[in-house]
Amino acid sequence: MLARRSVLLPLGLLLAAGCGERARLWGVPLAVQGPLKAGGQALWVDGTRGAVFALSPGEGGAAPSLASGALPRNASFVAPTPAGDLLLVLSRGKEAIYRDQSAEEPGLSVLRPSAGAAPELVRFYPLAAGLDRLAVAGDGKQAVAYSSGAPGQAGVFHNPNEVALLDLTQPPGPENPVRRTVRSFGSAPIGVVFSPPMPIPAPSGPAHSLALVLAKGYLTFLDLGHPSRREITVPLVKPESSESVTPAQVLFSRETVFVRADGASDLYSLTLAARTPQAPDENDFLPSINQPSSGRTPLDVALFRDQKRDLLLTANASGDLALIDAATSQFSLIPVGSPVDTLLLTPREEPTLALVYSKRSPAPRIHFVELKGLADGLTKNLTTRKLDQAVHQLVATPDGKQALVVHNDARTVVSILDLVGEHHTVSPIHGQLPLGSFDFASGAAGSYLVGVSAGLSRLGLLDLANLHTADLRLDSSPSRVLALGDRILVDHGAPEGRVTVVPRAGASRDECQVLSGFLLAGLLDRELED
Amino acid sequence: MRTCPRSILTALALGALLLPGPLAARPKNQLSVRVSQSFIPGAGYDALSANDHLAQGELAYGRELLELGRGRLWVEASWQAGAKSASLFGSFQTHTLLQSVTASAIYRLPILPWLVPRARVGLGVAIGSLELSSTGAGGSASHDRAAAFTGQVLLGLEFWIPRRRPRVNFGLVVEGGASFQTPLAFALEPEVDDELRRIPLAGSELGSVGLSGGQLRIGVMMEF
Repeated sequence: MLARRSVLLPLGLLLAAGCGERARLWGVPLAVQGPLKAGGQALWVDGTRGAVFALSPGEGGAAPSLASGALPRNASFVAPTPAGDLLLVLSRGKEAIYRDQSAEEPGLSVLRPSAGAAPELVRFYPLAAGLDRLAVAGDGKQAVAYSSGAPGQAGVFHNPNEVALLDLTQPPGPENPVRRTVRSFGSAPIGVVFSPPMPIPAPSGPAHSLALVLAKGYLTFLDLGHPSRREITVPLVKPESSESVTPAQVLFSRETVFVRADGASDLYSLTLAARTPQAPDENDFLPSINQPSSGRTPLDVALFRDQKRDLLLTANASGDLALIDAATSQFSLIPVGSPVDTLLLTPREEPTLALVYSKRSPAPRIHFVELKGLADGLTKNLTTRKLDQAVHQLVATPDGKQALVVHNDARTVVSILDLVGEHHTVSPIHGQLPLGSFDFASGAAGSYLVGVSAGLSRLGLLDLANLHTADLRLDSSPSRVLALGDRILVDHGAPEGRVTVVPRAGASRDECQVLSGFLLAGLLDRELED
Repeated sequence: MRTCPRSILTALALGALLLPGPLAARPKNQLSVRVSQSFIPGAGYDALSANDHLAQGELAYGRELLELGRGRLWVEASWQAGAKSASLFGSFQTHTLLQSVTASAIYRLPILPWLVPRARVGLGVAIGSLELSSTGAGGSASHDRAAAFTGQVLLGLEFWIPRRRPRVNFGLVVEGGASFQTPLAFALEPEVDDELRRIPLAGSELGSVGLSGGQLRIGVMMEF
């Protein structure tokens, strides 16, 4: 009897010893976003584990290095600042359901990448849980968080018109972020656009930094310099109208805001006039709306300056261009003779040339519009170049001297368009498969177009100076390519993380390095908590 | 009345069996087959197993070394092996094979011919083999091995078939205690075809896992 008990007791203990279960998080799929370029690094964010992985490609002969850091979990939005010096991560937070779980607050994490090290968490701004989209001003100093309106919000109530105004130069506090609800006409924000400093009244009034919240049927102005002041909502359609108008593009001249809206037959022009506020929460400006009509439905619009005048160029649904004087609303039409819906002005600063083509109805032609003296020359400033393959996308090179013409064709993959001079020659570049991903690498070795095609284990290099092509055989299929200066990173899209680091264009395979498994680095050292 | 002497005789016979016999009569070699259950609370082990326990099998040979006080000191060499599999993040699968060899000193103190308490101190070497594969399309596999030192301190009880001066005897052993292990450090490097000319490849450090924890064992023994 004693012997039986002595045997049964340890058996029971053996069974009891197996009761410790690991964290549930081990069974949740990874939610990796990236690679993203910021601070000279390539960054991946995993929302499941709350981790950021940074790859420094190595400078001056140094070997590439990897580092990782912690982040709040459940990242809903990840983007670098426009200057590319910081990484912004919106996280949804986490409720503690089980006793062994710890809650996390939703908010915005501001990370500063640093070469050879994990990005440093500079600031964390607590936010409401439903804010899952972020717009950042061009100077990276201010941001607006808003809701995408995506289904699946957990709360009983969710206000889709709540926004949070963030001053990224200041630490979080009672007044930062400022929570606001933009007045609605039944819709919800679909985007936020920031103005450059606008003098009101122009040209010498105090500068105002404005955020425009775009919504179906209306715009809302927020004065970022005075975030406690009331917002100004401007309807784009009359209350009795059944038109469906959605703002799609916003351009700023010195004193006027121009808006192109899908569903509208004309552009909108909003002039900002100064006014004296009667109460502390009132604004010192008032927008007034009108439509500088060209009688055409614009599909794209660009703003440029010529002969000391602000001019708008629109590509219209009627297959022509309209040139509109921003100050007087006088317009001229330039017939093109084929569908056009996209404008690319080059160079980016003080553009002198507009490239016009159709993304919606790709055709084998590009139209060139010389912007200098366009108001006088009109059709004389327009030339057209025929190509062998349809144009799907045009991208200007960083120096603005060439443009990449992307064809959705397995044979002529891209063409290089010369933008210098009058002839605008087009050099077709053949390939095997449509280009899946591309970037521009520049450094001591020159400027290169680098590209990969899914399913083809090769990196293509095109010297933009002489259009000589080169090829680097890769050891596995690529999914994306990006350039960090003259270093080229080919991401293979492997769930454990795998990149090929090419130190410069023209490097041999032996000079390259494949880094593998970095998304699982330190997996055994870190305890995952629910 | 006639049954009384028979009962006494039976009791005497049983008593003779249960009384400690002469130690010199016991065999000096021992073969054991055991199963063990370890309870491993370390964080890294979560990547290798969905729970905290590790079942292993063990083969051992022991030999009596010397008499020490009322008991005897034995030495034992054993080989232990166990395997675990786990799914990670719905995208990866780990397969781990753990093997160890251990040299142990065992002090056995018979208190009855069929009941022998024992205490064990062991030192050894463990080898871990980890395979990590991604389960998606175009999944790859990585494999690595790592070694560590192990130690164990266990207390147990042996239960023997009550036999008088057996040449061969069989018994059951139950042990419990703690096992210690220096961390097993694994790296992640995809398996590649050595015949191919490849771009230089650098893997990543997965980190290290310590398999120290509590341990319970049960097994059968044969002495000869």
